[in-house]
Amino acid sequence: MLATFPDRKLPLIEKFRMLKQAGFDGAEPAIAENADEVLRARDETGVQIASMSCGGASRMFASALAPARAKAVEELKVGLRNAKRYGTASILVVPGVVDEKTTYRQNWERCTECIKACVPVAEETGVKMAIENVWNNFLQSPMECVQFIDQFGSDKVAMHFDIGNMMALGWPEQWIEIIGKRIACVHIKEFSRTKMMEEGKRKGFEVDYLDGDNDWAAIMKSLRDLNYGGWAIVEPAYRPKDIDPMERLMEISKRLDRILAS
Amino acid sequence: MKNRRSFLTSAAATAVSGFAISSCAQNAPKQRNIKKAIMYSTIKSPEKTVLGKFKAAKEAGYEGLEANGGMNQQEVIDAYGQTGLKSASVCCHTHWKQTLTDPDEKVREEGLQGVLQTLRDAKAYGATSILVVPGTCSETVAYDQAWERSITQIKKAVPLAKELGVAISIENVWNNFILSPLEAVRFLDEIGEPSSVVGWHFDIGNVLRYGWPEQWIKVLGKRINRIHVKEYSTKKMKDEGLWKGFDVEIMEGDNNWPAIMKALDDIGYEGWAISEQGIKFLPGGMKGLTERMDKILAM
Repeated sequence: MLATFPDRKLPLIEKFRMLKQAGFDGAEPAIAENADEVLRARDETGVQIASMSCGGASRMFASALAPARAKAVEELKVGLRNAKRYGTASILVVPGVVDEKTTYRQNWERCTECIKACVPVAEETGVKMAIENVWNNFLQSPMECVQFIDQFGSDKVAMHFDIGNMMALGWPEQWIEIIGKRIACVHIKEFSRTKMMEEGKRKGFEVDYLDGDNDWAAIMKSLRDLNYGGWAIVEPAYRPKDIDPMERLMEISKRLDRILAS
Repeated sequence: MKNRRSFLTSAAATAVSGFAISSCAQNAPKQRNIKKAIMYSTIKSPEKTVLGKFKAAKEAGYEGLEANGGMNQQEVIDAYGQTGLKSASVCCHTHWKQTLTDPDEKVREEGLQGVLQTLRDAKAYGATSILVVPGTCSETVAYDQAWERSITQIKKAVPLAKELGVAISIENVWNNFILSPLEAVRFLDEIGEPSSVVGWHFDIGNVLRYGWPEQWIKVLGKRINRIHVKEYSTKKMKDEGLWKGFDVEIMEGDNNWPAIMKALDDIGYEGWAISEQGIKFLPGGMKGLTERMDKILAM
């Protein structure tokens, strides 16, 4: 995921070159990136576009203002069309947010309406909208994820499953089994329940791959049982300071290989 | 301590007898038919006997008490009788160790027996609702398994609940299960009984980790049979750890009490407000706690 690239300030093409060098096959750019630039970087390096992060737009699905939601829907439609140009099978959609102002039910209804409005473009382009489980206080149960996705009755609405995000609430290997074939894409992220309990909720993310509480053997087994054949996208929430970006990238790549071999 | 309700009653009487108090009425605390109770296991008392704890609760200003299931029934009945406290609810004593969702069917049956015993205890004490934890998700119990097992076991307890006229009220706790208010409604609807048979025991403090109590209250609405009053600090959760969030005195955390009370008004909640609040440094101890509860209930 380029939003968590070790050095976020580098030009896009430079990031792609470094990814190639570190052994990555794909990248997940944000919806805001210039599409022509993304295509140039892809074609020059051979690094594929694994997914496209549309969180910035889709978080606005929660807005109380209809024009803001309509704008987010239009942005997502552009995202779907760009994804098709990229040769990307699914885009990452964050289903709004529940907070003091937006209730669980309101967010459910608004996100449903917005995603429904995008389904025709998803069908037309063949690109899936993959709903990500994030820390937005929404879809906190795997059964509810299933219910949310299935209400659209379209295989173009799917799940972008983030392994680390749900460890504050449950066990990824169980979620994978329950959500099953709806999973179109996977974010690889580490989480330490110990740190969450002893140092603070968000501190749970401050741990390197393989050093937290993820049971990678169980997680990989559940993905294999599912015959999952999509991307495994690293979203390194842990960002050690004063490390050369290339060196960090190599380290992540090395640890990802170990995870995938678990 | 002067009882809030008796104060309000006398204020109303004054109005009836013709004194001009309309200008004060705006400042008067809101009139709610909510009574204070305390959970037996959270009573702080130097006297550790059942009667001693009941007396401590009474002296602190509580009207009701939530005993545990499986206690010596006669001893508890006597303690209620001697103190004049009412039975606000009974908390199932087996639901954490013999969960309704355990992988072992034998353990699930023991859990069911605990629920049935709690229902009988409630009948004996005059309570109309019991608190039941619906089970837990864990490394060995997946969400969908917990859902199915929990509903199966609760349904088995329904006939006795109906016979005794005691409601089974499901509590939201930190069990990694039923983490959304919409799902809580779905859970109850799938059991398919009126709230007088199976409803919700809403714990305010347990929700703040990932949600807002005022929102849950509105979604659950009339399904709420009882509430647990508890503070939580999301600040401590963020800075010190998840459990540390509970390590805070009442009214010193991040609960938005005016919004919570308004939500309870909106759904027309009446009955018991049961404290499950830890006390560490609160001035006045249990009495300080009831005073703060009075403030909350008047918001």
